[in-house]
Amino acid sequence: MGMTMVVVPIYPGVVSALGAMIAEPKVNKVWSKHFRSDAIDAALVREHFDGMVTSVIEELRAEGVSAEPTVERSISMRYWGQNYEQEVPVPDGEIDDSVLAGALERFHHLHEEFYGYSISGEVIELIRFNVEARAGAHQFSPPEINSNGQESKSESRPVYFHGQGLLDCTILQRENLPAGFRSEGPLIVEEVVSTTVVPPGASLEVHPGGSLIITLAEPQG
Amino acid sequence: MTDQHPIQTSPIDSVTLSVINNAFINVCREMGTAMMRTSYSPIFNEGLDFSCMMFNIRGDLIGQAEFCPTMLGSCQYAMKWMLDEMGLDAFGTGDVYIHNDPYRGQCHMPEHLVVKAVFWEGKPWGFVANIAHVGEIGGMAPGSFAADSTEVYQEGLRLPPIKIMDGVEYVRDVWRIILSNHRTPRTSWGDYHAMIGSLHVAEARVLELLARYSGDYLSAASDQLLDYSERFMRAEIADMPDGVYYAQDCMEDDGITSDPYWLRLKLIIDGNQVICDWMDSDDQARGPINATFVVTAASCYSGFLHVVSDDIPINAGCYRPIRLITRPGSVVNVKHPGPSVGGNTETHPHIQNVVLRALAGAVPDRIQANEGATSCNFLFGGFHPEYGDYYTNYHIEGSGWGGTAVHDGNSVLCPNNGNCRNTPVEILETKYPFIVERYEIRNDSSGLGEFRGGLASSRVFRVTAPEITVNALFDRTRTQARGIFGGGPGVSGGIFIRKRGDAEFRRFSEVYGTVSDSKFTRVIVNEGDLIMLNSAGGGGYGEPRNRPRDLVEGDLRQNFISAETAQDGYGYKP
Repeated sequence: MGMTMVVVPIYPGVVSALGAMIAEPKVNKVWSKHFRSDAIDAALVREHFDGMVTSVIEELRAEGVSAEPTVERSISMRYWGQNYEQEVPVPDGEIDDSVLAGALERFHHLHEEFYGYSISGEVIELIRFNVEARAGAHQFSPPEINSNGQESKSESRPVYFHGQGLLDCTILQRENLPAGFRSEGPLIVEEVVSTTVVPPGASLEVHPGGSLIITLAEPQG
Repeated sequence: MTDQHPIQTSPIDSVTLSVINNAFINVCREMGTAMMRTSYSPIFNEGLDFSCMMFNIRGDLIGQAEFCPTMLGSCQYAMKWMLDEMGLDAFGTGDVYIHNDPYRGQCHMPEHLVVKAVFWEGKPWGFVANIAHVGEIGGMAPGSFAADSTEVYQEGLRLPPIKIMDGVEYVRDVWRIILSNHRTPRTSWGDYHAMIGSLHVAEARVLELLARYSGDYLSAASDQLLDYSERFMRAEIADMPDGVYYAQDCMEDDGITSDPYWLRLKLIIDGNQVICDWMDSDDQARGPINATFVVTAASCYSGFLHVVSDDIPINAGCYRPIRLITRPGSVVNVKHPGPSVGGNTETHPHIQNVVLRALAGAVPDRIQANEGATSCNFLFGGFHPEYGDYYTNYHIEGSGWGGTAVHDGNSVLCPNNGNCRNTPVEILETKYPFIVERYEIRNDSSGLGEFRGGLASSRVFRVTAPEITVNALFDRTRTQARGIFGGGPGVSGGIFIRKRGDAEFRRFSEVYGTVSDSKFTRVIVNEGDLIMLNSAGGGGYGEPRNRPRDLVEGDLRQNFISAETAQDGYGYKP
């Protein structure tokens, strides 16, 4: 594929785990209940939505989240006879007939947007009532990269490279590498979660954001 | 003939062509998703009984995704017929045409083609289209599968190519006529919207492609893709040994009399082209098992697609090397006003099986033995006791496919020709007054073989309404899917009834006096009755005694075969 540059981001190999650690906690509740749009019990919907809103916030608090949560309500709807639903956001405020009428209208618009048409006057089925509360994203600061320091404590050992045999190879510790650091392969960069190999002929540079930029002499792949 | 192998000689590079081909496929897939998500009938949103396509300005198929092989033939002919009859000038911006006439290049009456032109710089560039099996279109039987019809006029409302949307406006009189002739107009209303909606989705995507590549470039790319597919298919055919290969199979009856109808093929492979000669097939039936010409064409195309590389882009080009000879007035080319509703679902897989069987002489390691080849079409309608509405539904079952040179036949899968899915029990029971008492694999139902046939299913419905009108159009209830190269036949299927208070299941001919056990309409069943639908098993491939011991043991463990079959059929000793 003619690639000449490789970028190794910080924490390679554990980015998903990192994402899970810093993602915003959220709690979802769903009430499965079927109504036709011409016979919705608004009081019952209000009661369930209110109950679910209270309980999602309580559960979020129980998980130790103290920040003010964002709460979103939606109703999964479809035209009566369809088999797949569209999630329609419900605006904040007390549920009453006019709020529900607005949501039904919104369904027609969403259907138009996704599929190019809506069927005005058609009965709509309400299938699920959903509440989601989110709050308290963990602040994540990328590790500080020493911008003017010197790389310290490198060592070397013989490493076998395919086609080239045993070469004397510099072993670097990633956390010691300053921004702007440059060197030529063969190199091995070690860190707790991964190991990066810079083959002979390739060059390494540390980006100010901490990523390793490897430039290959010959296009690879 | 190695010089016929596809070589990149065209001005557009093969990577770009491939990107454009995949873009066309994705347009069709996205249409399909929109159709599935918005349609009202289970035959669409669960069964996926439709095909989404793109055509060039001449009506040649240029793009298609993985939908119903049974519609491959009408993809070739129905659009062209519409263009010939209406003329290109008939297509204004946003106009949608509809067409289900089996005598104008369609498969059978339920299959409706909807078409919209896509414009580039003020002129039509090509078409986006959807062929879909509308579940109820009127006629003599609820669900419009009139298994004892003798004329097309009993099979529902026949539409020549007509305009249904005039730009964004409904052509109201046309809609009013259509909806007045369908038993479940509300469902048709929703399903037609889904079909037309899928065209909107496709149009938007094609306009994006046109903006990116320009109309001229995209047309050139389409033409080159057609030529590439033709070269590819010719190269594949050239690699097959030349020869004349014969095969035949029969439909067990036509619903009107109990006579079989024979489908006879003389397949000529000559260099890089093929002739499928069906002239010796039986005269057309009085009942609705007749295939229209496009159904027979679809069977031939899909038979070949089974044995060639799956890298060939599916478009009109890949069918150019395949010629058909059929006799108008025969069971493989029905003449007006013969009925044809069952030709598409039942006769199509039989014809395709015949093609594969003939190909066994040329490419024995690439074909499959005969399959169950029945969709077990079961249609019903009535007033829902709880909802108060009139409903109908088109229900299908999966049968066993044939064994192949490398694996057992697929079990309980809708026939080769449909590529459809079954409907979950939960959906059936929610929408219709039935309880599914039982739904299981039939043990010992597959043909024995080194690679055995696929297994058949059995389902029992209990009726929970005072009355339901039911229709059936099955085949392979007295015949069997034959095995090949020493493989044995699959078991027959059937539909049976146990009236409330009866001790056992009996044939409908016994209980209701229907002429056929497998094809009947307008039978009234009542609350508490049980109806059993048995699909048919697939034929086996190769000598059973060559079946590896571990596969026999696997079948025993899963209870797919009995100890007697293991011992007597496979010579297995514990």
